[in-house]
Amino acid sequence: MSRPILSVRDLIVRFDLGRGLFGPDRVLTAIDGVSFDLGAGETLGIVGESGSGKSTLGRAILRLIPAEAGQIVWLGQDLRRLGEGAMRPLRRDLQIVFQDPLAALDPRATVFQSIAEPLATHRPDMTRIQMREAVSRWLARVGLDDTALDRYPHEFSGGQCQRIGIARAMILEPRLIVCDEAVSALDVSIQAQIVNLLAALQRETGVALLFISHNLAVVRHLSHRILVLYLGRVAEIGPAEALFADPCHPYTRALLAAVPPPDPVAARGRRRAGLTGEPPSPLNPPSGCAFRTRCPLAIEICATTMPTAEAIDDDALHLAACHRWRDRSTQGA
Amino acid sequence: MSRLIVDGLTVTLGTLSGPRTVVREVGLTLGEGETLGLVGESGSGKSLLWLGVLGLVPPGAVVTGSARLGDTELVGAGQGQLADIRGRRIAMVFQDPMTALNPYLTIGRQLAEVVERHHGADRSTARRAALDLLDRVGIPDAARRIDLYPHEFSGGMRQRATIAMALLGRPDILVADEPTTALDVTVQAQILDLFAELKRDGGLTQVLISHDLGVVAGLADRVAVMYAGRLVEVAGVEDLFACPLHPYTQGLLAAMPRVDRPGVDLLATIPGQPPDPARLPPGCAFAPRCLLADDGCRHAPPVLAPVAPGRQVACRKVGAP
Repeated sequence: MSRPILSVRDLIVRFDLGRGLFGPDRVLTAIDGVSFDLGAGETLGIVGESGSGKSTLGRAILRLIPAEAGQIVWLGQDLRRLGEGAMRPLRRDLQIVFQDPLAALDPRATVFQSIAEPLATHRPDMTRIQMREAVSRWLARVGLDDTALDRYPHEFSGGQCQRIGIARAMILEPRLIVCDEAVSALDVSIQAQIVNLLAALQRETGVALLFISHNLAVVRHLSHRILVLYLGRVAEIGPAEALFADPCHPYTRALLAAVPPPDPVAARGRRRAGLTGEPPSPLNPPSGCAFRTRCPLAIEICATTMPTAEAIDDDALHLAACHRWRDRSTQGA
Repeated sequence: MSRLIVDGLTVTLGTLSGPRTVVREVGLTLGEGETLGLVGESGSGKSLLWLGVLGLVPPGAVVTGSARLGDTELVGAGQGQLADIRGRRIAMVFQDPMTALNPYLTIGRQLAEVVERHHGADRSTARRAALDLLDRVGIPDAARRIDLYPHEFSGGMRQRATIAMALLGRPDILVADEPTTALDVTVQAQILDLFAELKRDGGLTQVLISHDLGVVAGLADRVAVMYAGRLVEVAGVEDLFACPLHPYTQGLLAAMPRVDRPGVDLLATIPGQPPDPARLPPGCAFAPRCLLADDGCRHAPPVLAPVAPGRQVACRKVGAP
């Protein structure tokens, strides 16, 4: 990776849930010391179960929710140190696409108004005719035509609404888009169209993607690198193919093994679940390694000491936070 | 010996904009102990087919055709008779366990109620039966958890509880409608293992409705594919995945990114989108998206016809010499 455009360091996001009925203040640590880099034109897939903090991470990076500590260095500036006024011009480079495209669009705004809204904010120099041309160009680029301009979101299918959401995110030609489960609500045949569209837009514009998804197959397909989150911490991060070929964290192995392959011969007789139970509550995480309560390899040190990320390869591209990553061949999961 | 024979089943919903046929002339048989996978995208009618069989369609909907369970005809049967069949002979599990559970009753109470209702058991017998089943579906520490309320269960445990509730009536057939779609993949794997156990140990006949071909691949013996309200292909699971015949099935399999293979540059796609059930084309509903379609395809809908032993396809372009 050439010089990263985004460097996240030791990011911590906490939510104050207020006082329990009788107890003290309850604080949920959603992101607990996450660090990673993202290069220009790169796709970093972020995977993990619900409650792992993957959506929170995406939103905290865009400063849609505040982080408590750490750095979010975007092109050399720490976004956490900027006031809202200094942040505003940077926002045109930082966009987001949501899971439910219909909910993300204003139902009373036409497609033109929705897609042109970022232009109205960030490009006050543009005339209405120029805006109309730009919107029309992006509509065509995402596979819709000008007949869509004056229609409303409810007149479109889920896949078409997601195309509109992507046009809206792309219209300022941003350098980073956070895709938060952007294809998860779509049917397989439509999902493939949108995945191909995102990949093509990245090739053409060099936009970097933080692709947050629970769907490991889509993440493998689209990502250059993958970050595995467990209870707000990075379990493993590495180049996509290295991570699939040699998953070093027992959680990554369990996650990969749990996905049912669309292949009846491979699936036959295979036990699917490598893990028992469900992730512990982030309100009350286990001591030491957060994964140890479900880990088949856990030993004493896992309960006492939080593992730090260790390099697996010489270039330190592939990292795992596990005391026992060297013993990975001993686990069948 | 077939347990359930569905023939010409059609479901028409009464909507504000007029009647809308969402399931069209579906015919299939369900053999004893077999697991049938039913796949299709949203709006394909895969859930409404079973709601139609079980008399659970919304008010104003009309079900025609036939669904025979042994000697009993389900289409047109009275609600009393259907209520007796539901749960005791055919039970259904849904995607969202929270809507299937009563939030005001403990898990144990609502499970025991099923036993009391269907088998006339007394309270303590019913509770014992409930506890046994919670154990069997893998609820850890069931003796304590039986007295908890649904909101105190995790998503995976709630789905286990609804499966236990479905099994309490000792049904012949379990219909599971997207039972793992709302669950995390590690929890999904646990629930799929449970379905595999029920098949292996109990010989339970199962229908697994899913949009996820991976879920179906590992559990089903046969797979039926639905598109726009019709069955377009029925085949043994290995045949279907190794050699899909209908262009829609082929497209669906090719469009899936594979978790078990490195990424490719471009996913195969099916152009366009599924048709609006209110405005189906006169011929094959898939024709507007199909690369093989010709004028004949656009004229009249194809019939689901046998092309090989155990294989049926509804496509004019398949099986023609």
